[in-house]
Amino acid sequence: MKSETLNRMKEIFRDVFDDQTIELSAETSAKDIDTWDSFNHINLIISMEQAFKIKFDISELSSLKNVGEMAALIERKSGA
Amino acid sequence: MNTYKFNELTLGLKAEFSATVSLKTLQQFRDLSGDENPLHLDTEYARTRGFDGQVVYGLMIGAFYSRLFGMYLPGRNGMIHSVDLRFVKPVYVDDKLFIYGEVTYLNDALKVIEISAKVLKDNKTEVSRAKIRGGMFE
Repeated sequence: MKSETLNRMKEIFRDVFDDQTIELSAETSAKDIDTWDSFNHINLIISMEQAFKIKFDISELSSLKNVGEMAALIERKSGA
Repeated sequence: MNTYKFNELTLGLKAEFSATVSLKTLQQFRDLSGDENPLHLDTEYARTRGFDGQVVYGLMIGAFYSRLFGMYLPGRNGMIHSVDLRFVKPVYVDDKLFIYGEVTYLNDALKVIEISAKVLKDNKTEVSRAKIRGGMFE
């Protein structure tokens, strides 16, 4: 996982969850962010798609367990 | 009411309808919202602030975006998640409004759609625009 990817993801997380204090690590998951509910998950995924100019498949999304896996998927799909 | 399913929607699909805000519905919105700002209720006061008359509540225009999504694009199978709306010109009682919407984003994995919408007064002056995002049940 590249730090550049994580930094861009952090900005998106801060925007979607409206919390400028959010810090991300590979292990960060929904249980670490109180407002990471199903509604904000949709906003998060759409924001990631638009920022990185990629499209997720539903099978890819359902298997993600944490930020590290999401970052790896983004890098694979965007060729970063 | 339209009954589009997600897989029936395409980018560029459009819908439109016309509407007006009457003095009666303006007063009903006052009662509903509890917003008694004289800009919306007192013609003379509104004129002292540079307007032509009592200004229609912006969120009444927002109500037309609800109708656009809930009745037209996509209709029955949709539920609004968020509306990012802007009011760019004042609307007055009995203005003839035209509401337009177009599908500008489809997310297959999440069954989420986005509608770019606008409201024109007399079908020429843009008074509001919005991005409406919502999910689809089917």
